[in-house]
Amino acid sequence: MTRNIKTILSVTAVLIGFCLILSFLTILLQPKYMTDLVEGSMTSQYYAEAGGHDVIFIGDCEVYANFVPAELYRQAGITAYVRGNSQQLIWQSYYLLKETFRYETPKAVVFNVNAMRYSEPVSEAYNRLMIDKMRWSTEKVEIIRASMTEEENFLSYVFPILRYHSRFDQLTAEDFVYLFQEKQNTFQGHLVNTEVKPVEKLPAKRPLKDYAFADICWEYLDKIRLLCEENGTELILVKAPSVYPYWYDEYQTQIEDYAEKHNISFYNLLEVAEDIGIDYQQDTYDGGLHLNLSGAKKLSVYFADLLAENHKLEDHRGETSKFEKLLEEYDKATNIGGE
Amino acid sequence: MVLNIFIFLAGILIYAGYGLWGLVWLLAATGISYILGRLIPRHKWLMWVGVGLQALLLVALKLQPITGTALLAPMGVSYFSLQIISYLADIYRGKILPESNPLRYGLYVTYLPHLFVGPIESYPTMQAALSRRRITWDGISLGFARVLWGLFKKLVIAARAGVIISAISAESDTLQGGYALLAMLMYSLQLYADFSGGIDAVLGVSRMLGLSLSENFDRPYFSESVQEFWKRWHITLGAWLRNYVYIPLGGNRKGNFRKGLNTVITFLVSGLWHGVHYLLWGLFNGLFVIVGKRLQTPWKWFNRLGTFLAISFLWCFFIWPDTLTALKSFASVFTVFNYPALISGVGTLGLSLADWLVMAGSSIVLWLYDWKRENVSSLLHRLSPAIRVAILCGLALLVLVLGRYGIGFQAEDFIYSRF
Repeated sequence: MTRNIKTILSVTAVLIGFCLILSFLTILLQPKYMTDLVEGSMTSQYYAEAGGHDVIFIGDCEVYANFVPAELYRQAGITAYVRGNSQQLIWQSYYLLKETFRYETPKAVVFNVNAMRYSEPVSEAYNRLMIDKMRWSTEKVEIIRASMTEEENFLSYVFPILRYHSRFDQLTAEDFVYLFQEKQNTFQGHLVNTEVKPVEKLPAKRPLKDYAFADICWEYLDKIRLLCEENGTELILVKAPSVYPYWYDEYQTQIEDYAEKHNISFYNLLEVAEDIGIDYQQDTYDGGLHLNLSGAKKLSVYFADLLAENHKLEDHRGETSKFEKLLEEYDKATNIGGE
Repeated sequence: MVLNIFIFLAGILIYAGYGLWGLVWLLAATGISYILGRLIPRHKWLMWVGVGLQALLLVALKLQPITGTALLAPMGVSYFSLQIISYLADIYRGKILPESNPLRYGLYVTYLPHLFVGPIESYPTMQAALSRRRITWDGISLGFARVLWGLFKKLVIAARAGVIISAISAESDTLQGGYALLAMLMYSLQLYADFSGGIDAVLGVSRMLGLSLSENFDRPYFSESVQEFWKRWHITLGAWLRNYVYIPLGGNRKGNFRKGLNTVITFLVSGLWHGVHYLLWGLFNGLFVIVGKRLQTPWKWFNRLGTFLAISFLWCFFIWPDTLTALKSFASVFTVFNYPALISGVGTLGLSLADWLVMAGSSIVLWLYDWKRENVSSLLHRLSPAIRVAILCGLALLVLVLGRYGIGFQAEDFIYSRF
């Protein structure tokens, strides 16, 4: 009897040891997204700052590059967070928003409609950047199921070592430094980029065979709208002022019709880029696809006024130390305080 | 009984996933051969019907590249067809009695694990395995260890060697000489690790289920002649060919000429079993077996090296898809002297330095294991459960981390599941 107990205990100890080593290897081999491919850390950075936001932005890179929550706060005292990701697809936006409502109930949700043009998962790499560091919840399960490409399998999200095992010969100092810690790479979800690459020659604007957004995109736009309604949150649609990929008139009409039908505000910021003061020779870091910090600041100031005026969002300046501190950190990092 | 039913049904269900056509073929072959087996003791001629039908279908499938037909081969047809033929022939010869229990016979033919890469069992062996089946802690732990060992060979060694072979064979016009030699040597490693790894997985799973199946390898690269090699490599196919082709042809009982001829015919059948493209490979093997013994020297390691090289050269028919390219690549080993360039060129064949090191280290482990297999086996039996579990965990971690699988890697089937 004693021998049996001893055997059971020793086998259990070995299995626990195995699980610990496996967990350590899993963490070690997973990309950290701290100094390289920082877009992969954007989903998880929200958790540290969740709560107290009046506005949540959702959408693809056009939101995290173009909108600066700190500037919204400076301009109109609007507390905001950008839950954007590279190539965030509309169903991912929906589930991410659903997850956000677990943490807080914003007064407004701003959705960038550029995602309406994509009806299929684009690539595994984008999925990983968005999903890898998301906390486990039913939303994460749903995002994975909705986003997986044909070559992917669910198990590799549950056990990331199945995906990243081959990194054993590509480990860098980052993998060890950020083994058990993270650093904030964004400012309330905004990824700062100060480089300048003017808009020069854009590809020809070719007519498309079909401009109609896919059914699945409409389905998820409805879901986002209903989710907002259920939570008493106003949905605002925007088209960020990125000049490429082209936003066709036919796209514009479809969104305008939808917005009108459901009594939703829709702002095509591309149309008012000149009023905002965006200079596409100075305010973009990649030839017009995304605004740089200079352009994003101009856009954010404009949008802050628009939100305060049209949507009566409260001015929170001076109310809490959290957002003052975040503004201070942002200013320090972007060197505004030093100017 | 309950477990047998479960194994049978689970196998059928999984097999159906490979296509319903294959399942219909498998079940029809099983059903018809079961009925024929029951009738053969009273109607001997039915053996020829059953064996003829199986052989005809198998040959028709193998000759498809020539005949241009497009019959869809069910998974494992090369394995279960031979088992059915041996079953019917053994009843005919009076060596065994027909099986009365359809489930037992069904399991003999359709037992899923061995439909992937073998082994090709005789009916008495399978019957004995089924009747002695006992699930034990030893069976589960050592069986699982064997599965992991098989995966280690397949995913850590064979998958890496495969990268080099694919890179070289894809550029067969330019990568000749030293590269061709490297491909053949690497293929020896890949095929052994892949095929024996698959067999390890099959035998390991079977052992976990309490079934003790036949070994298919016995350290083949330690052979001192090609003849010995074929007694140690794909043992169950060799045994089948000996019992149902070589001996019925007269074996070695009708003089040296007939013995040589029978050997060549047997190896031609072996080549055809692999596919019509491998007939020449079979012929060369037959000739090597005939002359091999005469070329042996008193030096054991020299003989082993010579046998290894001879076998490696013959794998050229497996590496290059058409016979002419295979022969050209083989000849280039002796005519294209680019060996100094090969040293700098290996870095461009798709493997990183770390991959080369992992492959080399793992191959040494494989070689040492093969060399001291009995010692390792008896040591594993003596180990306490905790140490055994620790070894299993360590092996699992090695496979998980060092294996080439998942996105970004070509997830290839076991090579011998193609035949």
